[in-house]
Amino acid sequence: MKRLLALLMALVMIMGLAACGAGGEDPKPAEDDTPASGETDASGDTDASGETDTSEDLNETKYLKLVWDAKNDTLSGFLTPMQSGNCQSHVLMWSTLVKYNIEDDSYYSDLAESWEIAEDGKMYTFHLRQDAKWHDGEPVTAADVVYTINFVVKNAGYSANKLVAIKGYQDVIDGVTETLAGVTAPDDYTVVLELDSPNFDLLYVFSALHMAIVPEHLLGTKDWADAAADEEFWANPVGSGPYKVNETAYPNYVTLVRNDDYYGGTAKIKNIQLTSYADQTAINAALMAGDLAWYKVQSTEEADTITSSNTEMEAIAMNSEYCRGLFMNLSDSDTARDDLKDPRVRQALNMIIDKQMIVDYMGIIASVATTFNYQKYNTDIPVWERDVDTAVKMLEEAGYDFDDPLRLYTNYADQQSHDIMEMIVSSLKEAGVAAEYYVDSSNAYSIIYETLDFDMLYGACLGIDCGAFAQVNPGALYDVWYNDEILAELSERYGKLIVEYSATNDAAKREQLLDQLQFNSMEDMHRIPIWFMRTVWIVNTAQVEGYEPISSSFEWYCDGNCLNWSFIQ
Amino acid sequence: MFKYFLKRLLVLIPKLLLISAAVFFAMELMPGDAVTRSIDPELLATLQPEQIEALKEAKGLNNPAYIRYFSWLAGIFQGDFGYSLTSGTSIAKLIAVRLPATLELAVFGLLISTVFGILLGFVTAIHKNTPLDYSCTVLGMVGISIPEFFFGMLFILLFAIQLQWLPTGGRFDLENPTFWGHMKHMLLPSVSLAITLIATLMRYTRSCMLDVMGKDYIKTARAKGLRENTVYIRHCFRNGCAPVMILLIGRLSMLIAGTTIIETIYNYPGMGSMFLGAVSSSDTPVAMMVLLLTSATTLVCTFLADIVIAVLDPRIRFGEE
Repeated sequence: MKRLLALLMALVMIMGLAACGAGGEDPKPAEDDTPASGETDASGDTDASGETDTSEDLNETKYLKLVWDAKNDTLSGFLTPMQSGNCQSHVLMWSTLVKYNIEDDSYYSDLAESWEIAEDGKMYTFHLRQDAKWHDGEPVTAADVVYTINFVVKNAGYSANKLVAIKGYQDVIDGVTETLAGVTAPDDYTVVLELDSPNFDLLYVFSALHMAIVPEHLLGTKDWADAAADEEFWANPVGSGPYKVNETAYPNYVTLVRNDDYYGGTAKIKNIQLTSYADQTAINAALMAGDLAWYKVQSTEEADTITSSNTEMEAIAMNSEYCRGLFMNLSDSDTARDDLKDPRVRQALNMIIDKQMIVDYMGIIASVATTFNYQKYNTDIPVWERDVDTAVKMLEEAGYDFDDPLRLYTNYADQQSHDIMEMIVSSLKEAGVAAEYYVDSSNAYSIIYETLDFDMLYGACLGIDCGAFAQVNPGALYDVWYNDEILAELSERYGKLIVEYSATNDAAKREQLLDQLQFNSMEDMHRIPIWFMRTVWIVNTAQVEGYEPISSSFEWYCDGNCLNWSFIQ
Repeated sequence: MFKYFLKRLLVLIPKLLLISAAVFFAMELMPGDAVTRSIDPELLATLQPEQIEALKEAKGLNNPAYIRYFSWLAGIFQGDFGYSLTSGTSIAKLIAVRLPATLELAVFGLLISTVFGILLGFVTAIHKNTPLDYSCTVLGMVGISIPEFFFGMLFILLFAIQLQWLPTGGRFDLENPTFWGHMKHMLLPSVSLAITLIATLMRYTRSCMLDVMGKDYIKTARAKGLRENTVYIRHCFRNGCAPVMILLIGRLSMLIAGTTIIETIYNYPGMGSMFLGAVSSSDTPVAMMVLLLTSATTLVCTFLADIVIAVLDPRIRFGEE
């Protein structure tokens, strides 16, 4: 009996191991993986004797291993461009109407071969290319673009509130109509957008991967919400990009295979494997071991550790638009302090904080916010250099209470953020300004938007908005930080100018408005910019060539020039 | 005795209900909810308050806690495990794809720990008070004292990064989609998981063996002229391994629960890493389901251990006068 029991247990364990260990199906080979007999593979050369050289072409056989950078890694959601910032896979599988070049602030064609914007800024006409096909072979047409725009609005996609200028937007939101009246397709390859008010900046919206065009012939038969939640489609989506889905083995990996019918050309590398990682530590370990082709890191120390332990890895620091700074609590709540509402106090605090010390500590991932490294910035605009003596005099004139500690808060719980907060507090204390900070990442939403239990919040924002002008989005959540007087000021000194900026196509006028916005921002100092983030990419330069990291943290603009990626043979 | 075991089986249900309620309401005490914890504050800043409320309403987060708990419970009894609050995916599907990964780690870890733990325990018992015994004792202390995640990180550093013999993590190698390719991915996490149990089993086996080796029937076996190997294997080990087997059954559930940290370190996509992600994003339905399954496994394993005790040792009679 005992022997039987022991044998039974052993058998169960072995069977269980065999059942689980195979992990389900064997990984599916990429399509057309094996040349038919008698044919040579891509690298086959024929030598003088007539025999074929079967040396391996790595581009055809090896998998390019990348990180599946999904915030919502799910069976289907990871491949949905509308809601997540999963750039790396999206840029490979999906197409947008236009693409954006952040280096020179220009747009170039993708699905839209050409476009016109009316002189009054109230009409956009896109002419689609006629050779674009979906991965299932169907042509990409204007109906797909019309469907996508409505799909994004109906399902509150990430870019939905950026389409508010399109005619019929509010009717759709209110449920009066099903589709946007201002989006039409006069023929199969032309899309016309009519706007209620002039806006010359819509191309920016249509270049984002959140506005990737989806197939109407596959999703259009369903209800809007059902189409967005269609697991079967989104688990194996049909896009129109340079790569298509080969196999989804969530949560392990996704493999993509080259789309040989891609209108933009044929990629060199055939197979890509996207793997989900639990956290940055796991990614760093994979980079150190050479298991990944490239990815970004969060700190200079990480970059140094990886490149010193694996000399094949190279760290490439790229400028980005993200800035970390201090946001003020300028509300009338009980937790707010009145002296912060005096712009002299804010300007003085900006002049006290030692940003260079912070940037020196951060290393290659940071640059001082006052040396604007974004091409739209005008470096002739006066910036506030560190001047503690002048700042202290300004504080005294403003009647600032030096003994009442300034309360700084952040929801970033990493060591680096702790160190930065310490440095900010210490530079304030050096000037005689009492200050303290606390960190709470679990209760962030409540502290930031409800209780407002801080004087200054250390957070991130878009560089152009953080360092140049306040982000003005009427009714947005962060309006709670401002009292009515400051909200009115924001509307007058920023909101109107931003509307005027979008409504004009005159380059000189736009530059003048941008300069004015930057100047107003530096004068009002509603937000103190501390440092600009630089994205540091770790690239395995011994394994791959042709990858060009993007100068932006904006995940939805990443491209990387995938058609030129190639394994080093 | 049958009635005793039946009663034990039936008591499992209220125990599970109590555990589920305790965990659910403990998670309710955490600040934030699935919407505010899964979306970055910077991204939240661009949304209207009405949009956030609509998101919460759509996920049923505005209902009172007790209503959500009972709704969830009712769904469980109907076989509906619900949907993830952060991803919207069916939890049954999430479990179906992740459970095999956790089970294979746990079972492989159990196999490794069984083989090495018992073998080392056997050898050190036979060679008591020798340098080998002392060395294994020290190693055993180290294995029990140092947490598994430390060994995990050490192995990655040594075998994956420095020596590059094995991968840093993941579950499959597409360029080597064979059984051995998969085994290479399983080896380090399983060994990391097994180390503590190897140390425990080694000490326990040694102790059981020494206990049996002092018995009179062992002296009788030697007196009969049996070879030493036969005495050790057929008499000492067979009589001493019963408590060890019971320990093993009980530890299986601990191995399953212990995969949480190991899966995260090795990027092994199992239930443990899913649980961690669910807790950090306040995805209560997913966290609850994983906890329920783990608790059920622990209780069942304990129950099985009792059955095995009763079967292996006729001297034990549960529930009888």
